[in-house]
Amino acid sequence: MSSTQSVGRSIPRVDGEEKVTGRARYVDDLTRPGLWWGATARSVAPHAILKRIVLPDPLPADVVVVTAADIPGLNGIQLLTADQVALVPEGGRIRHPHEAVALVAAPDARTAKRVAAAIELELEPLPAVFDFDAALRGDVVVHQNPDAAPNVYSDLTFGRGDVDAALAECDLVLEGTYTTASQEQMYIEPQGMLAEWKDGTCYVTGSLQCPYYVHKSLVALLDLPPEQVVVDQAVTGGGFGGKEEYPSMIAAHAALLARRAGRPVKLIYDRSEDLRATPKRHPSRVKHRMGFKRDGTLVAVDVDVLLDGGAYTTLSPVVLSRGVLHAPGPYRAEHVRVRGRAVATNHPPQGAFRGFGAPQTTFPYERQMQKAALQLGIDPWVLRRQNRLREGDTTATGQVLRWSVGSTEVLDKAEEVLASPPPHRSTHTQLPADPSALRRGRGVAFYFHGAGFTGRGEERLKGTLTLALCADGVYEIRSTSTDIGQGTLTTFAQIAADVLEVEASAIRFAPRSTAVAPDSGPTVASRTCMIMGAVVDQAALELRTALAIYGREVGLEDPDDLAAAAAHHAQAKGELARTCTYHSPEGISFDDTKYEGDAYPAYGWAVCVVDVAVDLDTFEVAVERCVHVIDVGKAIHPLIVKGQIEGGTLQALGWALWEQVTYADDGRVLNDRMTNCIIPTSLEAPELETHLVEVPYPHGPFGAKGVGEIPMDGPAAAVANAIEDALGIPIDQVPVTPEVLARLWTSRPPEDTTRYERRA
Amino acid sequence: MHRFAYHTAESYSAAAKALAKRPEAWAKGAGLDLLDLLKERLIEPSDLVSLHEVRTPPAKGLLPAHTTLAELGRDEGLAKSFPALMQAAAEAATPQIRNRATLGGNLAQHTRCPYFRGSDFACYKRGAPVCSAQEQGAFNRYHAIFPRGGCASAHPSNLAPALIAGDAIAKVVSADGSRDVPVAELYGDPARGKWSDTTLAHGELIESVRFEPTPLTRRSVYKELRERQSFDFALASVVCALDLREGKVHAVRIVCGAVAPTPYRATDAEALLVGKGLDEAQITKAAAAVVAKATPLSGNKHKVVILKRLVERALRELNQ
Repeated sequence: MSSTQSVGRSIPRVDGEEKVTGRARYVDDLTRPGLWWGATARSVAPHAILKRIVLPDPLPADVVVVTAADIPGLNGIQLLTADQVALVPEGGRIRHPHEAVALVAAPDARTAKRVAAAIELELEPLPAVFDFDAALRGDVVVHQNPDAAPNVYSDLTFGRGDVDAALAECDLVLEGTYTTASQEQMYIEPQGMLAEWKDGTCYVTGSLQCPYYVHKSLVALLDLPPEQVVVDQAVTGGGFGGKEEYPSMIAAHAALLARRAGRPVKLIYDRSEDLRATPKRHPSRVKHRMGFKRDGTLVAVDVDVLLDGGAYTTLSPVVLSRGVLHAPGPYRAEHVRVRGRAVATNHPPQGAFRGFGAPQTTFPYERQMQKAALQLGIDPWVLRRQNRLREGDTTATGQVLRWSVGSTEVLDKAEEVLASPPPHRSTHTQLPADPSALRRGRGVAFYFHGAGFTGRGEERLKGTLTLALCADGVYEIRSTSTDIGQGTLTTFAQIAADVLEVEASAIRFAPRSTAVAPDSGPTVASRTCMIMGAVVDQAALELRTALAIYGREVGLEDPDDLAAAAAHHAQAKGELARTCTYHSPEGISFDDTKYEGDAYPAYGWAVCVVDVAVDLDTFEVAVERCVHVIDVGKAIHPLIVKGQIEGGTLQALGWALWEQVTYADDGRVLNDRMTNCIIPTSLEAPELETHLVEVPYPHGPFGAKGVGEIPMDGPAAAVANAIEDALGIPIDQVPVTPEVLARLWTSRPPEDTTRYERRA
Repeated sequence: MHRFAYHTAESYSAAAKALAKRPEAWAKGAGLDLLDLLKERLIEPSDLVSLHEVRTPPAKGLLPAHTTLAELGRDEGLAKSFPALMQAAAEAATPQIRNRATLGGNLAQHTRCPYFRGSDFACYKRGAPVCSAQEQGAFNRYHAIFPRGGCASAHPSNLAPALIAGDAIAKVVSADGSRDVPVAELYGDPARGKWSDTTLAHGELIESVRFEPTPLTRRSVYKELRERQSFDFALASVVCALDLREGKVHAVRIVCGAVAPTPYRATDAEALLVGKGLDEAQITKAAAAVVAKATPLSGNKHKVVILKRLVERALRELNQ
């Protein structure tokens, strides 16, 4: 290893200085000469025919209005399908209460918003549907796929063995129904875009995760050749999946307004508009059955998953796909049957959010395992160890786990950590209650998360990037993998720097722009470090080899002196670039019609342990200790990796205890501000005890595998298991707010039969 | 942003005069509540009259309206003379807000009801015939649990229940002079189209609040419960004040916050305690009496339980 080695060290972030000094420019910091501001007029009604859009008469002079009639190309946002319109046309159908109908631009934001608010809609109301059962009955049809049941975006079934016969022979069959609420990503920076046109080319810059998603949508919507649309990422203040799909919508709106106004237009959402209009985590209802032998062997798993996708397809089928694939859990079971449906309702569309369906199915199976441990009288740790998947085992899709299975290591590490008291007591999360009203409990969750795109996704994406030695002698990475706060740039720089034997700070990044960087695929699915980081590694190796050959060709004194070869090449011949594309490792294959094969190239493995105190006077729950052990393959930058895990853990604790997007009975988002759509503060956060386990993934850069999403999946079950441990009542829904707990506690059966011996 | 003229007042009475001349003007203290209303585009004042530069000389037993919650929350004199007031100030909001927020603003602030604050929604206080929070399926976990007439909002002030329990008097100035108003009378039943939570008329301003240290204020305590430990308003709060003489309750105050559109004084529970000794049985009875008339909404039954527990805890602590 060279003296410049940075992989495995927590070096200063390459974007750190510009962010802490305030030099970083977010989209709302950007301006242009003659810039106008945009605003959006929305539907309000959940389901209706839009008969006419009535503009204020007279319109103020300095104002432009855009409707669907102004769209030159296809009126649809290109995701899995293009069923979601950019603007509902007159005569068209409104499918949710926050749907965009018309756009306004004006020299100042206030005028734009005022005119947008004054736009009136003539509507012919239609009956609306908001719950699973009514939607599946199909009395009101929000969405109809050809040859499918009404209101079903996707209906997936897979499994193996004979579940019914196996369940009939089990000593214990547990059945439960589990529900989870919608959750807002609550990135610090609300969404926004700036669009301008120059010589027939549309330039869009803004807060986003996936430049080429936006590009694809704009090309179709504006009916332009691909080279006449340029999408550039501004510095982005968080995403968590929330800036995967909706930026295409805002970019479309800004581009249409700029085209109509003949000048740059900026469209920035405030927090309330962002909370109302943009996609969030799918609410879910999961029916879960597990069959065990008396000795604790898990024999059969039978799961039925429902996700509320809202009014348009967006990414619901792939969220569902990840959800069902995780539904059996990290356990051996010979007989598995999983069915999942993503259901259409008149709620605003749901979409990508860290975890992407897996949190909704992890909560049920880890609640089931806890109940099984109680019923069977087996220690919950022993039961999980007994049934855990190990290297060489076969998953429910028939995938043989050939590498990087840290299931044993994470359980061992967690038990080792718990053997000692916490290094710092979380005194600030103690409840100030009467001791007599306090109950304490501990809950564990053992789980896994597939890293990278599901199934054949990576084969389709063909993630590509370029690493170049530029004519000025500096190495430059040209990639559309975005840094949204999670550390992409630093991680890539470390990987490239170690191969090229330079300091990480010496690596330069081209803008994350479709004009200069190839399509690296979306920045989602815990794939950026593991998949595109491997491409950085490959490109760097190719560049290194080319420079070594070059050094010999030109007769350098020390042909292995990479720096000298690079300097010589830059000066004599200019740029030397290598563009590489990701290819799935040999032998990885998935049949996405039968759901058979390698669902993910590798999995992260994790244990989360939560100690809670419950105040039976007030039904407050305090998290007093939280231990999270995660197998990450290799931590390229340990501090960034731990930061990802701690942020994800707190987001998951929030989903478990506090966070809940609430809808009115007409489908509108009711708590559209941070005072009532709450997330935990530092005072709710216990000292997070995060421990990394490194079981290398042979095809990841330096052994790394995805870590962005995994911490979101497990903590909710750990919290529910801990509350059950404390109170002896089952907790099968999240969030466990005081009113939920009050209802469950006061309506508990007189004899508590589920309680098992509490830990001290 | 909406455009308005901005005036700086040198005294409360000058500010009152400036307001009286301008029917569409709003007073601005720290501006915390006002800025929210402006940002929501709920109000479009022609003028803002800033009170934030007004400084009145300190006087014994008098709290100027510009006193910040942070100042109240660390006042060692209050710790002895009126602990509940000090605790109520110290528990509010966040350190940043407490450093800025004033006594006057805290008493005059508007409810946090999301229907009131959301211009898209129908709101009784903003003139609609119905209260959206009382409709079927409404989001009402933070709302009132006591009979509420047309409005189910929850009163947001931490300080008002304490000051009412301490029989505090507000000095209210207007263009015509000044008058004394018991803090309890600063609040009246909500009315359709009446935005303000107070009984003050346009151009009337709270200049100061005073209270007499009594056995009641000296033996007082504030309890509140939030969903979060910071950045949050109370789900329910209570101030209890107790004057125990020779083992019997000579006088008692129980005033609740965040459970009705106005501060809610539990006179039935107070009457039940007066003249008797205070023991665990009496405490339980009193707490039950506090919530006896509660009629919670679909989403806030837990607030009844919480309020009862807070009352028990408060009385128990005072009885030690």
